[in-house]
Amino acid sequence: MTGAGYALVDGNNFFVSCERIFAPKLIGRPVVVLSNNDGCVVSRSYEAKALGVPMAAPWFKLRDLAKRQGITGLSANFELYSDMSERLMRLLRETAPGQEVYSIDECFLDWSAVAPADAPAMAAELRARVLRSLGLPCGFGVGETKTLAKLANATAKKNPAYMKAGYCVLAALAPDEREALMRKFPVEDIWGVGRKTAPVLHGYGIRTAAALRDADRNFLRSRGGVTMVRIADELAGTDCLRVEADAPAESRQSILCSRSFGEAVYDEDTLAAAVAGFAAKAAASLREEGSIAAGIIVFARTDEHRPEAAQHALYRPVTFSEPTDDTFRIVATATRAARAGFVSGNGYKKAGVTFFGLTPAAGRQMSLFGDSAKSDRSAGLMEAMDAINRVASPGARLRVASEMGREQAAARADTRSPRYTTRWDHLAVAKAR
Amino acid sequence: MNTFDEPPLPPQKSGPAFSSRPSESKENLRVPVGFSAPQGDTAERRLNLESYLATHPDSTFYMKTEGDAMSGAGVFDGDLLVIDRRDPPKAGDVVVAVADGEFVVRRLEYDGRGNPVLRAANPAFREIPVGNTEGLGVWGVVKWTVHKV
Repeated sequence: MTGAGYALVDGNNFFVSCERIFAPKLIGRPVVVLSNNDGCVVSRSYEAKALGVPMAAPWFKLRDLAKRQGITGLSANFELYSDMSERLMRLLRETAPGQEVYSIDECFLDWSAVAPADAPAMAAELRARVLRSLGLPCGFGVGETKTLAKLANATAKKNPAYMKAGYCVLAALAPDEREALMRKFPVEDIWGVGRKTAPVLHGYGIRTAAALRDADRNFLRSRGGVTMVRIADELAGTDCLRVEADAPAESRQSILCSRSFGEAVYDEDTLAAAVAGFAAKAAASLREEGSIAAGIIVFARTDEHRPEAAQHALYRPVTFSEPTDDTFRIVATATRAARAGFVSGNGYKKAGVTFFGLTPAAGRQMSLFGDSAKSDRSAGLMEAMDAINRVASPGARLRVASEMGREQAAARADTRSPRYTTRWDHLAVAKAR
Repeated sequence: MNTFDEPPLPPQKSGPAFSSRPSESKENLRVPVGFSAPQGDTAERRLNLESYLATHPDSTFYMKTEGDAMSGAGVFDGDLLVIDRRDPPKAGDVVVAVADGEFVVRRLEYDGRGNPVLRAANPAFREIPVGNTEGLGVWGVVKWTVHKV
C-alpha cells in the first residue's frame, strides 16, 4: 500500500443524523435513538453525550433526565437509516477505485493512489460533498493500514485538535505530531483490542498505540498470539488486513459472512444461492449470540483489480418488518435483495451479508403474544437445523428451501419518525405559506 | 432500499441512469423487448419516470408542498416536489429551506446588499432572510414539481 492508504469514512452519530435531515428542529438539541421496542439508547447526538447519557442506557431509566433536560427520544426508524446508508455508500463508492463496506454507516475506501499531501483537501472536499448531498456529517480517518485508518478516524472524532475539521490524515502529519498522537491514543481504543485484552496489555505497561507498536513481537506472540502481533504490525504501517475476512472479529459491530468466489459469478441464481448460504450462516450466528437484527445488508462486488471488466458494487441494506432471528425470513429477505440488486453483465467476485440494528433477543419476548406456540416450533426447528449443520459436512448441510416466517406482534415504536424516503404517505411537508 | 413487506425496487445503477438531455437521447427511442433481463445495461427497460426526474438519484428527495405562496413559480398546493441536494443553490432557484425549524418553499434571491433572501412567488407572502447556522438555510433545490391535473 502506497499513497495515503485507506480512508475509513463513517457517519457521525449516524441514526441521529438521519433523523435530523428531515426534522431540522432537532439540530443543536439533545437527541437519542432507541433500539427495538424503545429499549436502549443506540445513537446519541453530541448534545445528549454532553449531558452524560451513556450508550446502551435503558430509556425508562433516562425518562427523568430526559424530561429535565429536554432530551428527545426517538424509536429507531431503520427504513430511513437503511435508505440513507445506501445513498451514502453509493456516493462514496463513486469517489474511489475500491470500497469495503464495514457496517451500515462505515466503509473503507482505497486511497492508495492519493498522494499524502492531497489527502487532507480530498477528505475535506468529500466530507463537504456528503454533508451537502445527504445532510450527513461524516468522520474521515486516513492511514497506511486499516488499523491506522480506524485510529485516525477515532482521533477525528474524539481529539479536539481534529474534531472541527472532521478528518485526520496520518500521512500528512509532521512526524512529531504523528508521534504525539500515537503516544496519546489509548490502547483500549485500538481496532481489534478487546475489552478483555486491554487490561492485560495495561498490566504489561502497554497503554498507548505507540507502546503496542513498539512492543517486542516475540513477547506479544507469547501473550496475545498472532492477532496481537498483527495489530502491532498494522500500527507500524505494515498492511496485514488487505483481505476483509482477516479483519479482527472481536471488533466487528455485527456478524459478517462473506466469501470471494473462485470464479466470477455472472448469473443471478448463483449469486442468490450464495447469498442465501451466507444469510443462513449469519442467522445461525445471530441465534448463537442471542441477538435479533433490525435488518440485513447484502453486498457483492466485481473484481476491482480488473479495471477493463464491467464494474458493479451491489449494496442493499434491507429492514425486516420486525426485528428477527428467523433463518427463513432472513434468507428470504437476503435472497430477494440480492436478486433486486443484481445487474447482469457483471462478474461478481465477492459477496456477503451483515446485520444492523442488533439487540438482545430478550427484548423481543415482550412483544410476543398469541403466537408463542408457532414461534416455539419455528425456534425449535431452527435450533435443530443449527445443531445438524454444526456437525454436517459442508455439502450435507441442511438448507432453507422455503420461507416460514413467524409473525410477531408489532414492536413498540411510540416515537418513530415518518419513513420519509421509502413511503409516499410519509413525505415531509414543505410549506408555501 | 426496500422493506420485507414491499416488492423489491428495480435494480438501480450507481450512476445517473439517464442523460441530462433526454429528448436527444437515442435510448429514448428504443422499444422494450419482452421482459428478459437487460444485457448489462438499463437501456432497454421500460421508461421509468424516476430516471427522468431524478438526475442524481442518491441526492434526490421528495416532499409535499402546502400553500400557494409559490403559485407564480408553478408550485401549487399539494404538489410533489423533486428536490436535488447535490449542487449548491444559485440565485433564482426555487428551493426548500429551513425557517424556524420548518421546511418552506421559496425562491432564493439576493437583496441589494448581497444577502440571501427567500422570496415568495406570490406578492401576498412575506420575504424570509436565510440563516447562516450550519444545517439551516437552504436544504435543497427544487428541480421538478409533480402536479395532479
